[in-house]
Amino acid sequence: MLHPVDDPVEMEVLFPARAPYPKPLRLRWQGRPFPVESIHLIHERWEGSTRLLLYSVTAGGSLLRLRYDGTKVRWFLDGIQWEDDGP
Amino acid sequence: MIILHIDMDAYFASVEQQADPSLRGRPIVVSGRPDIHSVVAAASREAKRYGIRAGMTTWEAHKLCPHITFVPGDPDKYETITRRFLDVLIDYTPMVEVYSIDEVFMDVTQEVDRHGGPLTLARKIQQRLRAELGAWITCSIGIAPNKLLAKLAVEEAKPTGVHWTRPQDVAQVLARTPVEAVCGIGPRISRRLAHMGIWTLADLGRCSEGYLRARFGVMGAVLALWGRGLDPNALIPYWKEHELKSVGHSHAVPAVLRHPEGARSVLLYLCERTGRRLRAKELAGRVVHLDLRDAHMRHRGGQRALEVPTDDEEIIFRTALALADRQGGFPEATTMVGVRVSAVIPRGEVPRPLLAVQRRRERLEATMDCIRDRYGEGALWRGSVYACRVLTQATGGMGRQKEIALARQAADAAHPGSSVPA
Repeated sequence: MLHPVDDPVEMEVLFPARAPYPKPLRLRWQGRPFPVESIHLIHERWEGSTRLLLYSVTAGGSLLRLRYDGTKVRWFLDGIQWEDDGP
Repeated sequence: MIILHIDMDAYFASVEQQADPSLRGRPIVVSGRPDIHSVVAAASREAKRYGIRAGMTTWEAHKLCPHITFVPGDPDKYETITRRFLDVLIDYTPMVEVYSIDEVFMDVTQEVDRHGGPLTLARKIQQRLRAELGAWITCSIGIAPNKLLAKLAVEEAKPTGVHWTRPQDVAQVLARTPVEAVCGIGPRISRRLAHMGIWTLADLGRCSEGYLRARFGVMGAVLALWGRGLDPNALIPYWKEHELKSVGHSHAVPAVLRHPEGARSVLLYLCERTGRRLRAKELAGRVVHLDLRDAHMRHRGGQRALEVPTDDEEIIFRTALALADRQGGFPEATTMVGVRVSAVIPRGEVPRPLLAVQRRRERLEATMDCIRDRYGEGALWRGSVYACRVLTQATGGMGRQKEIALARQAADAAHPGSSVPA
């Protein structure tokens, strides 16, 4: 189960050629850097006229959900699943 | 003609397994919220080994596999992945028909030679989908001369395989396919066919069209074609617009709203959504249909034609309410409410309302639409349908939860402490 967080994070991203979405490489949360180890799924959600990109990734050994808000032009840590949490 | 039928394997469940590695290799089902009674929308391959199938109740699924994991559905995820796999398929041919959220037909007659034949093309598509969507989101592909046979071929290909029914194999396929395997032959028709000694498609093919027409009417002609391995339905590419005949919504009523007042709120909520969809599509409809179901699964309802086509939810609601009253009101325990507006025409062909009160309501609805377009569906609620928030919660989707959270934030901002906990 993902625990909701909703904290802004600093993100280092790559814009690969011909790919539909940017690729997060490293995030900084609460002053600590976490390299993104793998990206499992990317999906979109519309909240009114705001398009959000949601990334399910593994970083620092935990499953994270990252959110990119195109209106605020900011990345957020949407939710986190600790290693021993299970689904 | 060479048709591919692409069917995503255990779609919703494999998308969830792709998103969350801790779910991989485990029996999971995608369903509504686990704390309420709902049905299995999709079962993972591991769950299918326990006999769990889509459409079962969550209670039955739990009984078959006590350690099963229930995952709430997330429609946003599935819609995005569907859009992404369609983007991949359209790269190969524009002749792509979207049959459902996880099934697609492709006419690749012109393209196969460039890709080294149908089998090579199908495998290329599988590899590309895997590379772009993730290793856990897999598909099976059926190849055949038409949609009917391609859909039967995909069953042979599952899971993750490719099966090609060549024209010379059609007779064998028809001989071993039971009639109920065809989408369109339900339990009633298959029972009637069984009484006539017809068990397989080949049996069906031996009957004359006249004989089948005499017994099944128009459907008899279709059955005669299916019996010969022919499909009367041509592939309809995604870019060819379907003619919209009606717009409507129906919803099972949750236990907390199973009383006449609750059913009335649900009806208003559904009329609001119907009106909003009509306005979004710039349509207006003339005939309002109502369908109610009681606790004994009996349906009641009716239809009424309006003098002027409308997209006004208030008019749709009042008409539906009058239909309910004509039937003696709402049943004591209404288990399902449905409303539909048919005989739709473009909004521009409808005269503007003459009465000031109607014009005011038109402006109000346009303003409400603007707010919802900007801030989401949950940003604005009528007080009288506030109890219907439970309908959006019942689906359990994360997107819906966000909608609810938004509604709660808005309600709290207006009246601190007034929002009802979910």
